Amino acid sequence: MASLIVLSLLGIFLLFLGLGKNKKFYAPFGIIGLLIALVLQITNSGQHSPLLENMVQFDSLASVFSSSMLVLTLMIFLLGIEYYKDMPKNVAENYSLMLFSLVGGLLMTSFANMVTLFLGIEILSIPLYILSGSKKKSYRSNEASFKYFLLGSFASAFLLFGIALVYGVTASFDISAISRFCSTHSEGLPPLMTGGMLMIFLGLAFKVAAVPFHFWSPDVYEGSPTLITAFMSTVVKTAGFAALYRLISHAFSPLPESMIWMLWILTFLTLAVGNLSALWQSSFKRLLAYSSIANSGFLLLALLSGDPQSPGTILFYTFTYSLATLTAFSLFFSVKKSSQGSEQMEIFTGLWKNNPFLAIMLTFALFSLAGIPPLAGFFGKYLVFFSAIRQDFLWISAFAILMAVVGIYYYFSVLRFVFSAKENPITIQYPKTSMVVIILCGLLLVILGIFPSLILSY
Amino acid sequence: MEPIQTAIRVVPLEHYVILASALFCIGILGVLFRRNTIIILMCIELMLNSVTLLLAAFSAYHSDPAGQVFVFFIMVVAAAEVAVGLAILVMMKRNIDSIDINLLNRLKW
Repeated sequence: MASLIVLSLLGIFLLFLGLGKNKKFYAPFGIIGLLIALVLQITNSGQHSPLLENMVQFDSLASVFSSSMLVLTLMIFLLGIEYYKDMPKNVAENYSLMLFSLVGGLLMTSFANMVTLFLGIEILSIPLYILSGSKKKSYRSNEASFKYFLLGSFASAFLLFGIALVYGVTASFDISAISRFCSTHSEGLPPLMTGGMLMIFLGLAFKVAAVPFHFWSPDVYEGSPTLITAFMSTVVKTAGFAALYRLISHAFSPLPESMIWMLWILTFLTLAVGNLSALWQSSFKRLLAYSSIANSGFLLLALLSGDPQSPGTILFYTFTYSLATLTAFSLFFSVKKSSQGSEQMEIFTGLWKNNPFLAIMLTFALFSLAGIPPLAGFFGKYLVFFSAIRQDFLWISAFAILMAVVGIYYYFSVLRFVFSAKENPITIQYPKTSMVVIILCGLLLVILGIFPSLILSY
Repeated sequence: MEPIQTAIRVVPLEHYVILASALFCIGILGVLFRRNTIIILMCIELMLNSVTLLLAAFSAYHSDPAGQVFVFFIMVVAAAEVAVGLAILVMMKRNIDSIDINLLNRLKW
């Protein structure tokens, strides 16, 4: 709770700081504020009682997901120092919008009432609509922003209609009351209730880009500024899955049979479409967009397996996926800058000869995304498959493993360029602050790959 | 509160649900098939308002004020959303001098 207040005040403070036109201060102040919020979040984790008239509840689940989002935002701010160096104005607004969006993310992980869920999703999304259009003169950014806005508000209308129907049946927005209703009517829920649940899941599936509601995501990822794309594919994804998990485990348990079938079909489609369409991509940003859809598929599998360990698995998977994605985006941004803004995979040609250190870091990130041991991504995938197989979901697990193998192919197609013998005479400027971030991400990926219990013990 | 509640309860609950669903579907169809972005924004607004109607009806039938309070939250969020949406539209209009949705096709999958 304290971290929510700190973040909101910090966002307002940065907005006022933006009047001063001294760009050097924004990111350091933001980072200090985020550190304070992180410390408050970690030290406060003992307090589990519901707050604000039963609206939010920072239980241990919420606080670990919130801490992981705070750490990721911290890294994005560090990358932002370099990213926004050449931007003439409105830098402070970008930072504070990211903070406001993070506040929405924290609400989504800790809601105890449908009203808070809705508000969290909107607080997360509305700043993102603006951020994805923050390159005002770029037509692609405009288009990404408008598409995201249109589909995002379309999806939240569905979510709202679902919430209204569930309210109509259960006469409450409180998730514990809804869960009581579900358990007393477990033999047959009224059709309005199932319809409401369906629409709520539909709205959230839009947010985590599950197939068939993924159409916005490659376009929006490609058109948005790279730093914002990194924010969307890490922090927003974590928030979305935390909210889905909380909804399934706290509000709609036990799920009706029809809903479980619908979600399995969603998982199957997400795994298939995400991985297979990534094979045809030539733009690196689009590749990462499809990779993010594919990873949603693996996360949905972990979510649906209903294993008692699945919250730990989801946390581990989202965190390691986010670290690897951040590294990839940060390197991509620097290389793109020195190759006249091209976003094709070809820009990585000869990176190994040009700059072996960056090539190794990119290899680490892609190996982790592909799930190659000993990196953390391998352990994340292993946990997902293990929990699904332990709950006897053999066919879908076998299919997911097959799709993970397909994943290795397209991540390696990037590495083919990195290690090709061709010369590529570009000089890559890699600043110290971003270096700190990728070294940190690389270290965490290796350490968590060898000692996964560091996160799983939570 | 009491006379309004009885007034709302004159119409059976099913009728409210059917009306709200119909409005919601009209909104969906509008978003899917209209080409002018302003009309699309209006259709999204229609979808949100159908939810508002539904919540008010349920709230009166359950004699529970929570639903009506939620309506205010929806209004605030809808206003914020439309403000951002119109700003994005203005930005687009400045760059390409059109608000036709068919021009939004430079990013292809």
